[in-house]
Amino acid sequence: MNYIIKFLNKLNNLTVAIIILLAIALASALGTVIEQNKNTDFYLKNYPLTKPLFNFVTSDLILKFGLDHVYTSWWFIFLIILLLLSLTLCTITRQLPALKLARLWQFYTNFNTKAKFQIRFKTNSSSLTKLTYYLEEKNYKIKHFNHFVYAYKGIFGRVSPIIVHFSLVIVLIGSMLSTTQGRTQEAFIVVNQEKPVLDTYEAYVNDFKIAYNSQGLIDQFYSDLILETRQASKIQKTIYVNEPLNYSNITIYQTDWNIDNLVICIDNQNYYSIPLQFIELPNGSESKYWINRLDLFGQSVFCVVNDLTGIVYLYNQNKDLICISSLGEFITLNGHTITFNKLVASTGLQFKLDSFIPLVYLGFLLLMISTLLSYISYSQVWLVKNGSTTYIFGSTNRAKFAFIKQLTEIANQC
Amino acid sequence: MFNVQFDIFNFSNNITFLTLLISLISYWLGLIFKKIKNVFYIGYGSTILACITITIILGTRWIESGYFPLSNLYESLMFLTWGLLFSAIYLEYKTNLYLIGAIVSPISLFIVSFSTLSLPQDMQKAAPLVPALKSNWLMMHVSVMMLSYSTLIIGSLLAILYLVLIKAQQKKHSLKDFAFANLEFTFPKSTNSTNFNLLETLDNLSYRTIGFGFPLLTIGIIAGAVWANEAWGTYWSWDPKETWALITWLVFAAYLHARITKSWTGERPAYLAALGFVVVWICYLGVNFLGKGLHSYGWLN
Repeated sequence: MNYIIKFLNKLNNLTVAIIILLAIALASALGTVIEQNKNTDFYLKNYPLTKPLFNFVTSDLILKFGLDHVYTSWWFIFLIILLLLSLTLCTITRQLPALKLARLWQFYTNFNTKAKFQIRFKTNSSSLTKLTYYLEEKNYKIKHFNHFVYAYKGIFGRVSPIIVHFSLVIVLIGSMLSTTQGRTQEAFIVVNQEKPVLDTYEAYVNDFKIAYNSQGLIDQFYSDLILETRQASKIQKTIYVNEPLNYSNITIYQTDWNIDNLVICIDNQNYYSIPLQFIELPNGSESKYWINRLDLFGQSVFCVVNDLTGIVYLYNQNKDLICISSLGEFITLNGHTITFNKLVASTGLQFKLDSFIPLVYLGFLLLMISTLLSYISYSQVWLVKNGSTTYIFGSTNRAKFAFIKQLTEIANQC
Repeated sequence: MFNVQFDIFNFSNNITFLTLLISLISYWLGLIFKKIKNVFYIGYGSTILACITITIILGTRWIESGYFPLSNLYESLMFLTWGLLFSAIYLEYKTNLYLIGAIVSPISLFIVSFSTLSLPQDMQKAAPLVPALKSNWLMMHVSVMMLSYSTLIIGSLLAILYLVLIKAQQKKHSLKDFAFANLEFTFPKSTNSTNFNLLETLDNLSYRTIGFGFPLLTIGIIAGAVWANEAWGTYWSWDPKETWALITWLVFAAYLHARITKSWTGERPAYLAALGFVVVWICYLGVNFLGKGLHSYGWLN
């Protein structure tokens, strides 16, 4: 117990907090330099013991400290927990106590103290009213006391950092819960076929379409989707990239697509459904290709499709293009009529069950507002009358330059 | 119609280049020859003009393509320059500190010449958006990110300048000998003038500028996270760009905390801000040259 308290005391220190922040930054950077989530052989091959990267990164080091999965390694999670503790401790032991009015409004009884005022001015004006008026005009709140006037503004600048810490704690805890409790599943669903997905849900795809722009590039993917729950309620929506379906705690995203089958008709009587194989080009080209070999009447031909527009390319064994056909068009091969009737597509969907999204979003919202409000500078001014002269003392926490400029102007007006 | 717009575009490009060059020359003439003070007005004026012409460039592209012009490297660099110039104009108006224009004009000129002269023509053309970018979040996320980058770049540049000047001072060059000395800030002469010297001004100004860039960065990252969650179902996937945005955020968070630590006054936070300068550039450009990850749109195809 004693050790824990000692440890927490050590942690409750701004310098330590800064070191934690920088340590997380460094660890994150490491994860972008070293390829993540590859197999052991990859690291053995690319980070040999004989030639270490930066003179110290070897496959041994990578595998020992989990540098192949930095963001899920025990020490990275330990750093995040340290950050969480440090945030919480700082808020409880420093920020909240400092919010007490008595500490916010510093009523100095003796202005000769060496308290750090950024401003110590003297004016010959004997009345406080004029100064108070100018301060009020600059949006200061004024408190009158027996022997002095106290003015302050920008109290939000004092409160917001607390909300920043609080919302960071919400975001961190929320996303930890999300990753441990939430579930995702990716599935390809063939058009017009029902498929059970996560828990009690079933998804059915009415239609899948690709829209092209005038330059022939993909504009958008559309899946006309029906989600069925156990309570037999049906939700229908056409989803596309950037427009998922939301129902209760399930969300369905458009992520991918595939062409599964090509329906072919020979001599107007026999229909065959030919499975197509997706070919990945080695140079990482954007174009996609689906291909299959057909043995027709003693001749081998390759059918190649690269989108859903219905164009089928036929190649012979020597990889020469024989013909380009569209769906429904009759072509003749060795005296037989062939028609390509239909392309059967499937849509790649991602299903996600996550009940903690609202919590994380709440954290996000608070964080955005509070970091913005933290920009505000908290300024305090004391006006003290002493015989025929008035003293102006001032202090601020952030915008020193603007504050001094403003008060100089006010003082010179009197 | 197309021809007319093309001309406006080319014309604005040339004017931007010219005005930035004039602004660079006049600011530095003013710094080197302390006696000619009016050149600063020429510098300031041409900076404003450059900002306007970049607005026209981006505006015509917006009208032409129908979406916010942030879809490729060229547009993004132009928007960054716009952000740099706009912040510089505002800060200079607020503080009368001509050093700001003097450091922002060379960097802007460099970015503009790089993006118009070095980038291949087809990378400058507005390209149609890929499905993943078709969202209102594009404007929200990317524009806020770019504004935060430009604010943070100016803030950290001021911190670097502070470091340079403080080193010069420590090497027994009194600041008076320095060409910048004539810029020392003085409040209106009166009985109550507080001596706020150049170093203090720079220090506080860089703190305030970074202090403003930081919430922008926070909002930009969060907008990206929410967008990612809407588009592909995860708000954080440790993609290199995301990770470097987080690193930038962490470094500047460390800087802002260093400023309120009593034992970390003066130079030490400024070193963190200088580190931040490097990190922002890695985040903005460096990551994309890896060509990996979710943010590789509109770059080196």
